[in-house]
Amino acid sequence: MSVIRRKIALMGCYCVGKSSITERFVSGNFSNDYETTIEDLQTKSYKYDGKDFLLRIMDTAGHQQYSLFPRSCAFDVDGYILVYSIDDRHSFEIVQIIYDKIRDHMGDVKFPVVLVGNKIDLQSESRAVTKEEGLQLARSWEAVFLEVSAKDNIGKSKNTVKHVFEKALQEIEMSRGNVQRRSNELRVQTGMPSISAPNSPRRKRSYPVAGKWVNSCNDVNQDVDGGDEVCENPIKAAQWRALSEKRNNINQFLELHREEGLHFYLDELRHFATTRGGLIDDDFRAEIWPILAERMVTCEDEDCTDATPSCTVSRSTSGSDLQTSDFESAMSEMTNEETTPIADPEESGVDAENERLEKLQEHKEWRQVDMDVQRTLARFPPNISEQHRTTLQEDLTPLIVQILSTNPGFNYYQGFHDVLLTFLLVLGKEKALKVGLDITRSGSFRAYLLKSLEDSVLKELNLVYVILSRADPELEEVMRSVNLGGLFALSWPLTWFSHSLHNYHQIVRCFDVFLASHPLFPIYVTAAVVMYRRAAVLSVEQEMPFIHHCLNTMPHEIPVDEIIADATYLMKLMPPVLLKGRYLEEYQRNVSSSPVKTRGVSKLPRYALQLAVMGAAGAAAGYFLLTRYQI
Amino acid sequence: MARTYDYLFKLLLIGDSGVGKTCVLFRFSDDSFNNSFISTIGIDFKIRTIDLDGKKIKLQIWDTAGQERFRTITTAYYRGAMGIMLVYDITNEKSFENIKNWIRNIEEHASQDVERMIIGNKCDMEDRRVVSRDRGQQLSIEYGTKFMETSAKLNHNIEEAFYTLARDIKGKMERGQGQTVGVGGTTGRYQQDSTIAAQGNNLCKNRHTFHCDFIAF
Ligand SMILES: Nc1nc2c(ncn2[C@@H]2O[C@H](COP(=O)(O)OP(=O)(O)OP(=O)(O)O)[C@@H](O)[C@H]2O)c(=O)[nH]1
Ligand SMILES: Nc1nc2c(ncn2[C@@H]2O[C@H](COP(=O)(O)OP(=O)(O)OP(=O)(O)O)[C@@H](O)[C@H]2O)c(=O)[nH]1
Ligand SMILES: [Mg+2]
Ligand SMILES: [Mg+2]
Repeated sequence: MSVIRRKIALMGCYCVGKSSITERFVSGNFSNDYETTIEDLQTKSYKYDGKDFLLRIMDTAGHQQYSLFPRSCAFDVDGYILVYSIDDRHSFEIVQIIYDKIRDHMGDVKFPVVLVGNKIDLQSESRAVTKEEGLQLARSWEAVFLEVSAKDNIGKSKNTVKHVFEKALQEIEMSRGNVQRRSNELRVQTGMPSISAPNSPRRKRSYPVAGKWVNSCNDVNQDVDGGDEVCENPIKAAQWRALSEKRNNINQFLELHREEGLHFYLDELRHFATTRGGLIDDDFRAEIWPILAERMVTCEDEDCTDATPSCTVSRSTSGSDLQTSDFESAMSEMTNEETTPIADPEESGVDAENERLEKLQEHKEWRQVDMDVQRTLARFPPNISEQHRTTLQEDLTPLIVQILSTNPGFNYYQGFHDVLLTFLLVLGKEKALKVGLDITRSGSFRAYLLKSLEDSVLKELNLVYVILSRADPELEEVMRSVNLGGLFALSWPLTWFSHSLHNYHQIVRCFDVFLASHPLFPIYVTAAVVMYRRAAVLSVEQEMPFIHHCLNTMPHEIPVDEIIADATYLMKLMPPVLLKGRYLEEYQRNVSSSPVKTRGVSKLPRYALQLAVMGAAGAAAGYFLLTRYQI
Repeated sequence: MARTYDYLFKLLLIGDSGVGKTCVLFRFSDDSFNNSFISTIGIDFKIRTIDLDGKKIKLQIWDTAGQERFRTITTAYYRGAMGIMLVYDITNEKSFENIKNWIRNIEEHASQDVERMIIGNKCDMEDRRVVSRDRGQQLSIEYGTKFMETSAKLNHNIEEAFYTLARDIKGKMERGQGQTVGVGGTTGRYQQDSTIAAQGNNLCKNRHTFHCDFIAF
């Protein structure tokens, strides 16, 4: 007889006993020691309802309010077991957050779920959540509810760990229409729709894609438009007012100055791009990004580029002459004369277009680029038609290769395609090409393409340690003591965060700022993200793999606006010139003189950190700070 | 939950970009294969616990970026690895030829006695095969490693590959190397670690420190 495979995910706050429950079920053991889980898959054969099942049990890391919805729980999971501990009120709140996250992923359908209150052996001493509360919550989800103890797993009671899994399995099979509900079920309401039947729409959907786009492209627009709904929450309402006001301002500004030429107003455009909400609308972006890209802020020194002599901060409002000469010098470097930077397919005709494509296909990087482009599925919105997506993917490879072929010294790296995909999605083919050429003319991307990664991005990432040593010495010391290095954040500057952020809006929001800021700004953002994850970093085991894994995984709900505000603040305190100069030297001296402990560096006020901790309230504070520390 | 395992093994997947390392790992750790994989930038790991001859073994499996440009960066992580899977794509000649280079990389950067295994992935694509089974087999004989053809897509031989590698490491570890405390120099660091593990009631605390030395300015 064939074995039926089912995958069950256990989720819940840390230390509630997910691993203990799994272990109890899989091997019958229990241990009083606590070692936190990163992620683990266990398997167990189980006979149920006369059939043989192979249960694959996904034991997950403890969930926190802002933690990532684990990829491994986002697809192929047949049912969930959500665990809280009856002696921990907070863990009860967390299961509700998790439930909402799962629902978001599922797109509001019901799914097989069992709610478990663990550690019932502690009920006489320290119960903090009543049974009634658990029941009520389960009822609101139409879920099964059980209170158990992984520790005293008393065999004859109806509430043992075994029952937890049996109920989960029963829910799963029921949702597939394979078993009938028995009459004396704990669950209050019946009739869970059959949602995980093999061919129902839910199964067809690919969750990571959906997840990435939960509040996708136009969530701000929705916020802006759907003002009525958000008004109940004062902070949200204030945010909404600020954003819609800003949107009107940008709109008016564009109307007023479009004729004249927007490039005369670079400072204003940069201001819009760097302040809260960024450029808000993709329509605005399509108009403003090309102007920003044409006049990217450049480095004060030559280190950032391959020694392009005219490398200065452009402060002028009117698109400065320096840039033009910069451009010309860059263009003269192009030895590959045959490739026209911007080819107009309509004018050149079909044959010429084919010829151009064939030429590009001979480029040494074509294959690698194409392979990466084929693997960008997760970055497209779910509502995009397959045909549209395919067209965009087909456009992307030649677009990238065309940019690469402007300089024979360019070496493609995986992740550059993520950057160009973002431009393509927002700007369309032609503008994306122009912007692509502009951003590779100077600055970080040029360095990444020309130099080795050790000499470019990893050097930049070392500066994160310099920032942290002043802004959060304790965290810096932990990271240094385990030899963490900068690899955990490799893709962040390399792709302007587009490889690791989960939501389109977050990505374009970052691009707004990066296009309008100093080339090192992504490094300040990297430091701000690390500081935002402080609690998580300090709570995992203090060893390289765990800290690496923790930081390498970007939470879904990361508050990008607050992080950008933090980063702006950090940059004001430690301007790039000092960071790369005096501060770096000081840091190196400190590290070599006291290898483990950093001393003699003055601590900063903990603004940034407080912001992160304040979470939602931080939004308002961030806005306040930004208006105060306006560039 | 403390130490629900007897051993912790660190494994590493290497091979050219696009051969399917990430897919192989996801198939093993999450038992899934879908189309929304993205190319790997940098390095990260997944964990799965397996049962092997009555012992619980926790596998910490590192997936690396395959592109040439990331190669020198990721070699810093070779040193802590106890087993390495070298993956090529049976529909891609170049990826097969490059196995030699990957082996050289291992010899330079990994500990000497690391268990190695060669994997020919995508064996579901018989119609596009360019590297015969024989050649794969031959190469593995040349290097004295195990060999398997796998398909992450069809879940063919994936479990077998990881179990085999884990079994080899376990065997090597239990073959009396428990006594050779501090042989140092010639033995890799994992032996010392696993020695401690073996002594510590077969409870292996995860103290295998990875080294990465690129904090050079
Ligand atoms: N008294 C009591 N303690 C328990 C019970 N279940 C687990 N514990 C203890 O609670 C602690 C945490 O258990 P784990 O199973 O590791 O918790 P977890 O949810 O997997 O934690 P993370 O992996 O960090 O998310 C351990 O010390 C266990 O011994 C229980 O039923 N009763
Ligand atoms: N037919 C088939 N395709 C596969 C198989 N394994 C992977 N692929 C495909 O091969 C492509 C590359 O797979 P990845 O796992 O991303 O490759 P990788 O080795 O991790 O590549 P890098 O991250 O760039 O180093 C993906 O598009 C997969 O769909 C397989 O067993 N059979
Ligand atoms: Mg756990
Ligand atoms: Mg990969």
